[in-house]
Amino acid sequence: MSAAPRRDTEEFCEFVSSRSAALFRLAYLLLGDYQLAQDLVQESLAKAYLAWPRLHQVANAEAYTRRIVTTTAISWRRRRGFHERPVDHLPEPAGADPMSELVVHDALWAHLLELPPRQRAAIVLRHYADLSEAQTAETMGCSIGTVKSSTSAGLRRLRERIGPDLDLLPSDDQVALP
Amino acid sequence: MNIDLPTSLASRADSVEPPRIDPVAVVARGEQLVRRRRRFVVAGAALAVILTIGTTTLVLDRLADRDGPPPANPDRTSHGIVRPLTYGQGQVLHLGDREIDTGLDFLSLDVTDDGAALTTLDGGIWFTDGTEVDQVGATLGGRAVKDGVTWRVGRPRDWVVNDSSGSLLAWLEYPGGSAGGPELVVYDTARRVVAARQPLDPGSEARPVYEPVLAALAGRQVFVAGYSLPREQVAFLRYSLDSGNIQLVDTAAYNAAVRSVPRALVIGSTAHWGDVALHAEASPHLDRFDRLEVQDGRHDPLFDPHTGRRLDLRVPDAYAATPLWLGQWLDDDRFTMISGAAPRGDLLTCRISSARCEVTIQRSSWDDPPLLPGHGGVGAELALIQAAADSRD
Repeated sequence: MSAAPRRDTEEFCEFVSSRSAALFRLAYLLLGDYQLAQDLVQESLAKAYLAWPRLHQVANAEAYTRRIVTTTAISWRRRRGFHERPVDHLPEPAGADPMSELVVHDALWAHLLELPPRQRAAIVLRHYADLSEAQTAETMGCSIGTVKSSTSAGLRRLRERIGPDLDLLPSDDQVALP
Repeated sequence: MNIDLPTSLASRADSVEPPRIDPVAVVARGEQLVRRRRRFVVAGAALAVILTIGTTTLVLDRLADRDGPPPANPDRTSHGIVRPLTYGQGQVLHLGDREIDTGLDFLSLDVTDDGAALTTLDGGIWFTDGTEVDQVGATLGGRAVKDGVTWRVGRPRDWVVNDSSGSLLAWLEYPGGSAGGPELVVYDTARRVVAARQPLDPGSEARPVYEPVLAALAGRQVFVAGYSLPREQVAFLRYSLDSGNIQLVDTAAYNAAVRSVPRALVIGSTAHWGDVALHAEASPHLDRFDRLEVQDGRHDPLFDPHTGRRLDLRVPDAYAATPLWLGQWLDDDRFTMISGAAPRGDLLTCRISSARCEVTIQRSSWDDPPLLPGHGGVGAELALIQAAADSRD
């Protein structure tokens, strides 16, 4: 017996085809690893398939899958820095001269990878996925207060590491998009 | 310069081309989960009772010994063996003073008292004592086909487990191909023989875990982790090399075993309230950390689980604000750490007795990015991605 009737399966396949790229990009930003992100999205979609009969709408399914992706990514990263290891090259923007835009992007990415998993997830969901604080809290499975504190702490840490000369990041009170 | 954060994140996300995820494969995997869930309903109900009791015991045990003395461990001995500093560069394995041209593009390293094991992308497991390099086993490699669906089978550094002292290695082989059940292989690098083969039967009522992965080798016990239903909790199979028995155990038993090995450190609030680190290569399924955060010259609480003594390591000033990854044990007193941020990639050697760390190799000395025990190398993941891309072409 299948988990879903045939029509539901067709709808689910359409959902996978249309949304898997966006979910992959989110997973990639959360994990920083192409292969792991692919695995995570595949497994999360398979779990969404289990819940498909009760999700009813694609919007619900996307939120549901995004939550699985996010909470699993946080869990993986918290369990161990298994994807975190010394890399060959870390851009050092502080004091670099001339400082190209590409170097700044790379430096930000490198420092984002160093953030604790919740801080990184909160920043990615708020500033990439453009979710509200409430939506971010729902996606991360935590309180709005935790989202606020995680975002604030993460941004503060990024500012410290990127350096004071860069007008790179919005201030805390600019980031809220209710 | 003014670059806003959303633009930068979007730029990074757009810089990678998303893989094509096959909806049919996802549905097949979903159906597999459905069948698995059904299969475990009966066994899972019984297991839930066991795990509830086990979890309660664990909590009570933890509360009881949170401030108490560490348990005695009369079997704790490492025989004083010194392991050489080990790392790989390209196809060359550095084993202390020896340089071995392996001729292999190896992806991970596992050290025993007798030499080093290497893995290659095809799943090959090789061992060398510094002279010849011999293939001693084979696991599945980068990808596997299960139920007609292709899935990865973990990262190279998780394909083999070792202990922080001793001669044993363990891995999973699949004699029936990827569709069959795994077989646990324990290999003795001192005698160069397979010490045991134990078929695992994930899914049977007696061993209700699925998606088994190697967790740890602690003394003469091998732990395999998997998920148990109905709540998809992590459970462990413990295989005893001495008795040949295999049984389902809880997290408390696993934690006790990996804390009791001769060489281990714990990152946590007390010696018994934290995560075991620097025991052996960990599995991503497990709550075990190998990263020390250092801020203002102070690092996360670190304990010797056998003495209960807290270690306040003094690191050189250059590393006063950088995460440090724990590397390998050299002897009962010395272990290595690798700096994770600027200065990145430097290798430090720390002594428990003096609580001091010194720089052993600076990154600028590496000819190529090094491959380190327990950490794989940047080349490992790239090789897997390339192989996956090649298989799609």
